[in-house]
Amino acid sequence: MFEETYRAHFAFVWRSLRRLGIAEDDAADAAQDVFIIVHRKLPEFAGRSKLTTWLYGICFRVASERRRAVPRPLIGEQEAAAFIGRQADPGALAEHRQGLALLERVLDRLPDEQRAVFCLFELEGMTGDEIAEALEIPLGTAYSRLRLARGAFAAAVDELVGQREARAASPGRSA
Amino acid sequence: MSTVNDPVRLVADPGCPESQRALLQHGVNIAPPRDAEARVWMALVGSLGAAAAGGTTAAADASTKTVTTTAVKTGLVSMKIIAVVAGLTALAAVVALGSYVFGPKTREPRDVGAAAPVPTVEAPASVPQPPPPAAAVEGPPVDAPPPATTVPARTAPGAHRAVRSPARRLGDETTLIKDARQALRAGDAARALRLLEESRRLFPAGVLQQERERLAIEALVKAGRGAEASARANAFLKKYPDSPHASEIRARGLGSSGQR
Repeated sequence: MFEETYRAHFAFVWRSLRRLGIAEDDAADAAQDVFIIVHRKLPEFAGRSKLTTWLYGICFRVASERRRAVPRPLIGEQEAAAFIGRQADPGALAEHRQGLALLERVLDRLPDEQRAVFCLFELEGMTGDEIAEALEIPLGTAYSRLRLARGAFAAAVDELVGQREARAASPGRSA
Repeated sequence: MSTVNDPVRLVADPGCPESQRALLQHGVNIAPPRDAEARVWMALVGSLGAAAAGGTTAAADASTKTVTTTAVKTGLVSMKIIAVVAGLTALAAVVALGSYVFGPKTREPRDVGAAAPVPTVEAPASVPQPPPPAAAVEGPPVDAPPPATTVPARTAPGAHRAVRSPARRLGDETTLIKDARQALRAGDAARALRLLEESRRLFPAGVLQQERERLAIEALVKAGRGAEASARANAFLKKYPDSPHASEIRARGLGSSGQR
């Protein structure tokens, strides 16, 4: 049961942790922590909820603790895309790498709680009900966090786009 | 599967600016590195196996405790008894752990919901024997302290080296690396380096050599021993040019181009 859970949901746990702000070179450690808890608690899970929502709750707590304990490494997102779709052409990989790093920067501005709701809804495709269950919050709270997160996300993206345009227009900076 | 009042997702919302949708798309496509699943599993074998070995009283429930104790006292002979008596979840789990670690990397994930693997079916003939049942992976009681934060009580890794099974050795090696990583995280680079050196001495050809070297390089940097870090980084890059850690080391400028 544990091995099946691990195999079936490792990728989910990994991407959840990454979206919660765990750097790639710390994600293996964090995933290990998650599955140690899963191993311990799986017998009491008993299918009361969807396995992924239950897993996400664990990911969220592990990520929150780790982000407090481990400062973000300077290295950032240097190699992530190197592993993502090795078949893709180098141009697309480079673009994806940049995009992912940028997204991380934007998400880093959100409070953990908003970030979790935002990522689950917009990236993982969970429903409001599932998110409420995963994070053990009322549905209304999930919606209001999503609304706040969307506002912050839009503002951050606008700001970044503005910076990029300003940089491109600035002589000497554009290569 | 959608809640009635859920808004439209931004990636599917034509009214959402393209800049936002494009950025989000990158977050949708996050996948773990190819070897991450196996690597983390290996580490789990170490920590969960070590926890069970170091805390048999906490880990064993009432029904298996007597048998386990007997096995510890009487040694190998009793392992057969365990295999029969307690060979339900625990042994299956152990064999599953072993076969996962030592099995071919390209193995496809099995169907979720498949029954717990049966040892005789699961263990490939060519893989090393699973660890003895004393190292069985058993779920500790619900109220037991989490193994992640309680480093299992253990003897010095080298103490029983001569009689360690491959999986037990891997457990010891993993524990050392984990301890070193924790020391490093806690800011104690000197202790991390000592633990890593011990790992190098005890497991010169260990499975976690790359991880050990990566940590050692990081610890040397943190200890302000930049030249040594750089030398070790160069040795690493020479030995493992295609390692997942190599790109990180290069990215940090620790290779031949110099050190930070």
